[in-house]
This record gives sequence, structure tokens and C-alpha cells, in this order.
Amino acid sequence: MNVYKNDRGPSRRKRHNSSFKSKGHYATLWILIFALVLVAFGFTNKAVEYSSQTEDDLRTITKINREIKQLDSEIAYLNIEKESLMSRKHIYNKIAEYKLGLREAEPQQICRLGRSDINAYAHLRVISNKSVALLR
Amino acid sequence: MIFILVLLIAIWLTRHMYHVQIERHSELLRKAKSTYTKHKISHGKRGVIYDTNGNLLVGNIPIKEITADPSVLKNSKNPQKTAKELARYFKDKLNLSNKRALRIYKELLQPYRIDSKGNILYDKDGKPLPDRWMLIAREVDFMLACKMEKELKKRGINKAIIFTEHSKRIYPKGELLANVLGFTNVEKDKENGKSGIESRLNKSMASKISKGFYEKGARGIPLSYGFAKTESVRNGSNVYLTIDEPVQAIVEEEIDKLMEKWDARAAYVVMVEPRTGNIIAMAQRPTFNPNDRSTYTPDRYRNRLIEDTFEPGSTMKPIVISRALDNMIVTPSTLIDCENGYWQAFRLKDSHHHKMLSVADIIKVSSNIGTAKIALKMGKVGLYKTFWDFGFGQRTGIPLWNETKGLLPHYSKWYEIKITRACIGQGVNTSPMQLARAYCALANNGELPKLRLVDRIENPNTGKVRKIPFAPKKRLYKRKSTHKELIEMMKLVTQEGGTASNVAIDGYYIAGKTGTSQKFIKGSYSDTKFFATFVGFVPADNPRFVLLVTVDEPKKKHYGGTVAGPAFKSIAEKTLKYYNVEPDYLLAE
Repeated sequence: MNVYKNDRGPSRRKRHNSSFKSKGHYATLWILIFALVLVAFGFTNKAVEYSSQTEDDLRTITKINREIKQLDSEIAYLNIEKESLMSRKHIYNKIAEYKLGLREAEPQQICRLGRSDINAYAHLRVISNKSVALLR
Repeated sequence: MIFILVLLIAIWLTRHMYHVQIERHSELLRKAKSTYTKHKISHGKRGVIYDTNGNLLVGNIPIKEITADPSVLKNSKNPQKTAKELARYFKDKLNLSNKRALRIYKELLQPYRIDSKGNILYDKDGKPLPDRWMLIAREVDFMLACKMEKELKKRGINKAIIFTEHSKRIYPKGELLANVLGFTNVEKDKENGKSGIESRLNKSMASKISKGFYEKGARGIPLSYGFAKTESVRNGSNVYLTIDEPVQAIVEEEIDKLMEKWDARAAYVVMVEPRTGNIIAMAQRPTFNPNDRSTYTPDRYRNRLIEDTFEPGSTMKPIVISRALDNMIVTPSTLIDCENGYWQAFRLKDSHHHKMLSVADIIKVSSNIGTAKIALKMGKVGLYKTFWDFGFGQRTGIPLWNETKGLLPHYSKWYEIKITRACIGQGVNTSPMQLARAYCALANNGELPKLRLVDRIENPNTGKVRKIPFAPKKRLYKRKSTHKELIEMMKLVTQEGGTASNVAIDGYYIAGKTGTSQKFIKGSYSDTKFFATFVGFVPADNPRFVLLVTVDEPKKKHYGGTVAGPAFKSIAEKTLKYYNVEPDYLLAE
């Protein structure tokens, strides 16, 4: 009696199943690795881009700093120029050079207004305010 | 076989890596670092000087130095043409002579270093040393240099030319206050004060050098991830003086007129605020222009107001009489016999013949005999103590070097005749500043202030401002009425019949005193050389300022009222107007 028991079925199935499973496993692994590489690539790319951006910004900062320094120097130069032009000696020299009729009032030419005098001239202020309003 | 070969190569590589990475690590790291490390030295700015209201008196102006790198020019397309173009450009822009332009042309075409004989210098390996630096112009105007830099860039011939920015000390007001401000010298790339405030406050005003380094990229720009160590630049402190620039300008203008009118050897003017001791203005002639080094002679730049002394003459009389009034030795109405103009016992003369004069009239007509008689009543100790209390024989303590103490001999060396001379300002020497301070006490109800020249010091790095404190005043009068009595007497000097009636200012009472002192030359008093002084305060009852005008050796005339008086009047009038001081007459009416 042939008592052969076909017990290959389940094992083959089993083998078949495991081979199928391992193929799927590799594919998943490959996909995972690919995804990881992609992420790493993405990160590296981003990092390079970020670094490049930082360097660009740094370059811009250096340029702006240089411009600020230049402007500071120009301001310092112009400030000194202004102070020289504002000196009394320079103004007097210019008055003499251009023969300008400007001169300081002599003390006796100055009339000091008291509080009562200011009230007396109050109407003039009203007139001047009106003229300013008209001009506007 | 292959395995052995690979093994040998691996061993060699490992050995080599060990040698490079471990054994030569520090050496190679140093070499590598030196190529990508940039060292940076930054100079801060020296502190500037302002007047009390923040008007700039001393500043720093940017300038540029133009240099060239001939070794760069050598590598350009047509060096000869470029050098020619550059030499012509610099000649036109910087107004250089033909000779200088030709030299620039030649030097630009000489890319190697040469010795004094014109031979090319070589390095150890026998290669000619490149010439990397050649001076074209120093201290070029900043704006002009910026313009030139742009133009050269536009023309495309800027590669070999280097524009380096520096800073230079500048005095925008020229001679104004020059003797007080002083000047600086550049020593080892650093500006050091050599005279005046520049020297006295050099430590505060000096900037600090900051050193640093960083990892640089190809263009020399610092790398964001690289190492860096930088110190922040530290600027010197800014100094604010008590000087008021517009008033100083008035004083300078008048002192010039004074020198021209009297053809004097020297002149001094000091203006002080008596309540605070703040020096508002101080000027002297001769002076110098700190922007022009050819005018730097010790005779011009030393500060005569604090370094020189003179005999104050009759300006001492109110000081002596104030103490006599305070000690009730005399009253304003006490009559004194003025010996009809000549006191035989002490060989003392008056300029006019007077018999009996009240103390008030002694001040008014400036009687030597009357003052001498009062001084004799005070005694030598009393007189000496009076001078000492009013600050004679002591430094005023203003922050400037070389201040004199003046000359006040101790009373133990005084004979009776000395008393009659010291009280009229003979044998006692004072600096103009000391005399102005003594008059501050007279103006300030007998309170002697400590003079102030520096008001505050500002640290620009932190923004902190340090105010120089007011020192407590020294009270000199015991009686309340002394001040009023003395002021009334001093007002008479500028009124009808006084020695300086020409000094009177419409609307204001002036309390002042004239002084005419002969110069003591070679053991005797000169009959031709004088110091003419007028010192006083305005308005007399509520003084805004004490003003001293002294003229050294005026020609033609020599009286204090005639020579110094008009200048006093002119300065006082303008200053009263500037400060908008209300007149006395209107208040009285």
C-alpha cells in the first residue's frame, strides 16, 4: 500500500510563502532605504542651500556695513565742514568778502519791550496771524 | 603577491597618514590657519571736545591715503599705458608737479623692490622681491578721494590703486580757544595730546586699539561657521568744556582789535561766571592755529593766562578795601588824608593831588596813598592773609598743565614799606586767571568759587556722562553789608569822575577797577613798559560774568581805563546782549 503521505504541500506552501514574504521584505527595505536617501539628500540639499543663503546674507551684511562705515565717514566729514562754516570768523570773512550790509545791532538800537508794551502791540500780532492765514 | 602589495601600500599609507595627521599636526594646522585666518586691528576714534552747549571745538575728520601696488600693475594688459594714464590722472586731481607725476609713473612701472642705489632686491631663493606698496599721496580730502575711487573704477584702472581711510585731528574753529585746546602729535599710529586740554585729558580722550581675527572665505569675508574672536572698538571719551563758543568768538574778535589798536606785546581776556566758577571764555594773543603746524612755537602755544604772571597794580585795591570794610577797620565814609598827592614818609605818589578822601573816593580815583594808609591799619599779617584768602599764591586748579602759583612772599619778609606797595599790587605777582578768580569772590558776595573749565565727560561707548562736581565755595566775608558797600564803591569807577568813565554801558551798572602797573625789568620799574588792566563784573548788583582784560606793553598810551577799558566795554556789551541780560536802569525805574 502506498502510504506516501504528501506532506510537501504545506511545506512548499510555507516555502513559497516565505520566498514571497522575503521578496516583499526586500522591496520594502529598498523603498525605505531609497526614502531615507531621498530624505538625506533633501536635508543635505536644504543644508547647502541654507549655508549658501547664510553666506549670501553675510556678504550682504558686510557690504551694508561697508556702506554704513562710508556714510558715517561722510557724516563726520560734513559735520566738520558745517562747524567750520558756522564759525564766527568764517561768517565775518564772508560778510567782508561779499560786502554784505549785515552787522549786529548796537545796544542803543535795541528797544526792550515790557509786558505792557507787548499788550500795546497785540493788534500787530492779530494782523500778522491774519496775513499768514491769507497766505495759506 | 597582490595581497602583499596591497598590504605594503596600506602600511605606507597608514604611516604617511600618521606622519601628516599626528607628527606634523600642529605645524600644518598653523600653516593652514594662517592662509584662512584674517587678523584685524581696529582703531577707535579719539574723543572730541565740545563747548558747554555741544558746539564742536575739536573733532576728527576722515582722510584717505592713496597707495599703489606696482606688482599688480605688472600683470595688467598694457602696464605702460595704464601707468601713464594714472600718473596724469593724479597730477590733475591732486595738483601734483610734473616732477612728482613723472616719479609716480616710473615707480608704477617698477614692480620690484630696489635699494637706495637703484639695485633690485632679491629674496633667499634668488627671486626679485615684489614691490607691493608705493605712496602716491597722504592726507587726501575724503570727498575728493571717494570721487577719485569711483572714477578710477569706472575707467577700469583701479586694481593697483589702494585707498585707505584714516582719521585726522581737526580744529574747525581755527585759532578760537587754541591755547586751551592744545594740539596732538601722531606717535606710532596713535594721536597723543601735547599741550592744553588735549594733553591734560589725553588718557580719557585716547581711543583703544582692538585686535581680532576670523576665518575668511575666498573674498576675505568672514565665514558664518568659521571661528572668530573680535573685540569691540573703544572710542575715547568726549569732553564738554564750560566755554560758551559764541562768547569766546566775541572775545577773540575784540582781542584782535585790541592788539591792532595798541600794537601790544601780548593781551589776555578771561570771562568767568562768578556763582559757579565756570570759565565762559579765555583768549590770549599771540596765539596759534592748531591746523597749521608752522605756527606751533612755544611762544604762541603756551597758555599765558595761567603760566605768566604780572603785577596787578591798582586792581588789588578793592580786595584790600573789602577786607578792611569787613573787619570794620574803615567804613565807606571814613576820611583819609591823601597827603596832597605825595606821601614823603613812604615815597608814594598819586596821579592826582587829593587831600581828604573818603574810602569810596579812594576806589573811585584810585588813590595809592589812601589804600596804603588803610593797609597799614590792617597790618602785614592781615594784608597777607587777605591775599591768601582771595587765592593769590595758590593755583586755581583748572585742568591744564604748568599753572603758576604766582608770587606772594611770606609776610615774615615784609617791611612796612612793603605793605604800602603790596596793597597797590606791587611786589605781588598774579596770573590773569588768579585775578579773575579773586574778582569772582568780590562779585559773589564774598564767596570764592573753584574755577571750572571742564563741565562733563561723556563715554561714547556706554553713553554715561560724568559731571565734574562743583567744589564748595570759600566764604570770605563775615559781615553781610560788606558786599553791598564794596559794590557801591566799585560802581563809582565807571561813573562821572571815576578812572574809567569811558567804560560805562548804557543801562547797566558796572563794578570794576582799572590797573596800570609798571613792568619790573632788571631790578627797577620801567617808565615806558606797562601792563594796562581793567577787571570788573556786570551787572554790578547781580553779576552775570566777571571780565578781565589785560594788555602787555601797549604803545602810545598805558592807562588801564584808556587801553583795556574800551575792550572791556565792547566785550561786555555784546555778551550782555547775547545772554539777554535785563538792564539795571529799567529795573530801577
